[in-house]
Amino acid sequence: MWNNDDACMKCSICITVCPVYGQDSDFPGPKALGPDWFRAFQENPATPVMEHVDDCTFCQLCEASCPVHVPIAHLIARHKSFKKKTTRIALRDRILAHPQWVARYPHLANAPSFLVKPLGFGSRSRWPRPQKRVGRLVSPNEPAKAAQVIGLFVDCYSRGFDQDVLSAAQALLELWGFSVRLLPHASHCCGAAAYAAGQPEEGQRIARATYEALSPDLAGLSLVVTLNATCDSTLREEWPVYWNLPLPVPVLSFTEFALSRAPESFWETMKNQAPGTAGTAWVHTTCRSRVSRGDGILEALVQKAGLPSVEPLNMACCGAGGSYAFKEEHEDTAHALGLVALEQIKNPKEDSIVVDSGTCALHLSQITGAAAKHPAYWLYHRYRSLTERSVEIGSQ
Amino acid sequence: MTRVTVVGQGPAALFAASLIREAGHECIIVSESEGSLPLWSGTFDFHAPVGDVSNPWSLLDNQPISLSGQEWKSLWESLARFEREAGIPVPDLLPSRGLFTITCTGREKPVFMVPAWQYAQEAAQPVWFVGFDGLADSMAAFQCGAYQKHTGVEANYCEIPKPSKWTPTWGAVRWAAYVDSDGGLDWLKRALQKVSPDIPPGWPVLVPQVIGRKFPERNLRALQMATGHPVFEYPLPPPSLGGMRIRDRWVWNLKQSGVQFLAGRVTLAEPSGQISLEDGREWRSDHIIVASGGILGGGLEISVDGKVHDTLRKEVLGSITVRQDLQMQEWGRLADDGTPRITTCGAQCRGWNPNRDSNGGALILATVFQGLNREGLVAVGPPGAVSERSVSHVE
Repeated sequence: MWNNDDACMKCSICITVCPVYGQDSDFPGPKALGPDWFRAFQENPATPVMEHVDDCTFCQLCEASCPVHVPIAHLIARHKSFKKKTTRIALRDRILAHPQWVARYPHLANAPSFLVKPLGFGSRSRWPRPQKRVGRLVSPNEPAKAAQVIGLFVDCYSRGFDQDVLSAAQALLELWGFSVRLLPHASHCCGAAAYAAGQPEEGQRIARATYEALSPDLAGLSLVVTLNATCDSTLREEWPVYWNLPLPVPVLSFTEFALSRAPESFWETMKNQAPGTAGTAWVHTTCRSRVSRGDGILEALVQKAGLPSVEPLNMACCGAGGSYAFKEEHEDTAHALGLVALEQIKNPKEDSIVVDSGTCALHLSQITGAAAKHPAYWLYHRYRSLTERSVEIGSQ
Repeated sequence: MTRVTVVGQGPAALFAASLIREAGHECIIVSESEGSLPLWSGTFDFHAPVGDVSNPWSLLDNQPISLSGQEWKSLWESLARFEREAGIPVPDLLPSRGLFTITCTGREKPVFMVPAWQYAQEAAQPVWFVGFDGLADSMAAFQCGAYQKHTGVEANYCEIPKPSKWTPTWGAVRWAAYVDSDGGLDWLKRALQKVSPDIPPGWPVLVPQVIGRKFPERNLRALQMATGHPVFEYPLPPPSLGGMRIRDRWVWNLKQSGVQFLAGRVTLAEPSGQISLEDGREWRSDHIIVASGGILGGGLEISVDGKVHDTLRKEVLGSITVRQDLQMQEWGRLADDGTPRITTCGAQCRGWNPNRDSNGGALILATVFQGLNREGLVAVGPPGAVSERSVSHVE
């Protein structure tokens, strides 16, 4: 099916990095669900589906650990696709596999629990609320000339709920001298949610529709910037490798774009001491970001931005897993995984969490009580408070 | 600040990164898969190919890379310091002689730097083995018989029954998660209390290495209190909790000290310091250290015809023949000398055969030292200790 899909040498390193295996005593683990199952399935296509295959969060840490590059997580996604579901769970999973629908009607997330609980939605995980857009940023220096046009990929969560993050990112990119084109125009999904939920064909169909919607707008772009780590790696990896949908322009996360392309004058401003920022900025690099790009990049951004007392959070997967935490059967595991953050964050009123995914931010915020947001949000507000303060000082 | 990129994230890469950070340099680790630490218990060994195996300090000239006693001491002290800083409980003082741990098959295996959770002894002593019913490779009866046969020393064993929560999917990692839980620790305490009256006074109790992933020290203390005996772990085949704990703590310690752990396949490493990844990322370092070849990790791939490829240098390094050892002479030459193009460490190179000689720990320390020394990055030990002779090869 794919390169190295039958190359497992049973070293079991994948088991040592799987966040769910260590938490959920019923979960058979990535080796059993991926390469072991696939070998059995090749021998006999009637191989029974393992009961707990859906408990995989699709974090892909297993796949990234493999010394012989077995596409473990993708084999598990294939395994999931054979799982039979009851009508109500199938309906729920169909909704969650199409976050672009929810993004179009975000107020659906306010539906009372007695309506959604029968569908298999959990009651412990808090639903997101749509946030308001923020205003443009004005440079106290010479305004930058918009030279390059870049695309900003509007993921479903940012479109539906995190307009504050989306508009903050847009404002920063414009402040840095780029002309921003929001992509795609209408609500579309990269396909990651369907893939993670064991609907690879539906994921590919969704991705193709998005690809077609994006394509006309890619002309003249130098690159596409992403906000959500999962969408970022889906566009750069699943799209070209698994779905034959290579984008003609490079894709880069907002974090890496900021580190490499924001002008020096911006960082000079950010170095100033901001008032009232005593707490620790905890950094959580999401699993998909870690798998795709690595650890320590977000910390580098936050440090460069002058946020005080930056600390990485010592955790693998926070348990949010896109829509994983919203499913009743995963609530306990999702919550237990997130509790690792609570053990570290002792001062939630003053501390903040910097994380490159909206659903992870929502989950971590609920569990720890600390404000959790995308780096664009924190950079925007820090810059704004510093420049407004300098204007005030100047006018005195 | 000098920037160093280390390719790979196994024990050699972590040791190199710790030395680099301690010397005040910036360090980036880049790797396309997990390092090998979870594949063994994480103890570092310091044996030698021939001679009085009980005293590695008397056999320094028998190691494939010849270093002075002071340099070896300094390297082992550095390793111990880095492990302790990461929260790994290794002793303050270096062993004056070689140590032996006991495997799950009852054999004595040479070790040197051993965390406090694992059993190690200078000479064979009477011990009490504990087997866990339902845990693969925990075979106390066989283990005990083999230990007695090979050492001639008294030993005994018991088997404790499975906990009620056990299912056939339980591997070592699952067992460890269970023992980390309050219920799991209580179960184990009660089970060992039942057998403790049978254990002769003063005998250490040896349990399989699954006594927690996060809290092994706490758990072992609790078992010691419950039984009145010193309690240690014996290592199991991979995935190994000992190596996982060391990896988890050491990597975390390096991350906290600002080391980036980038994920990606290195496709180009130039003497100029230019690094390119398959995904298109590029950066420049002042130095590049390749530490990716210890096992089939980052650097090596085996193709269906048995050829072993170095994916970084795009060279065929050797081949695997059916029923024969890995033939890796070319890799050895490249790794041992370093090439004009690139500095390598941690690899099983010419003259080193850790599987045969039980000196893989020494290999890591010596080749990392050699590599960093070649790059002029660190001088281990007191000033003047590094001489030309100290890194010469024994032919």
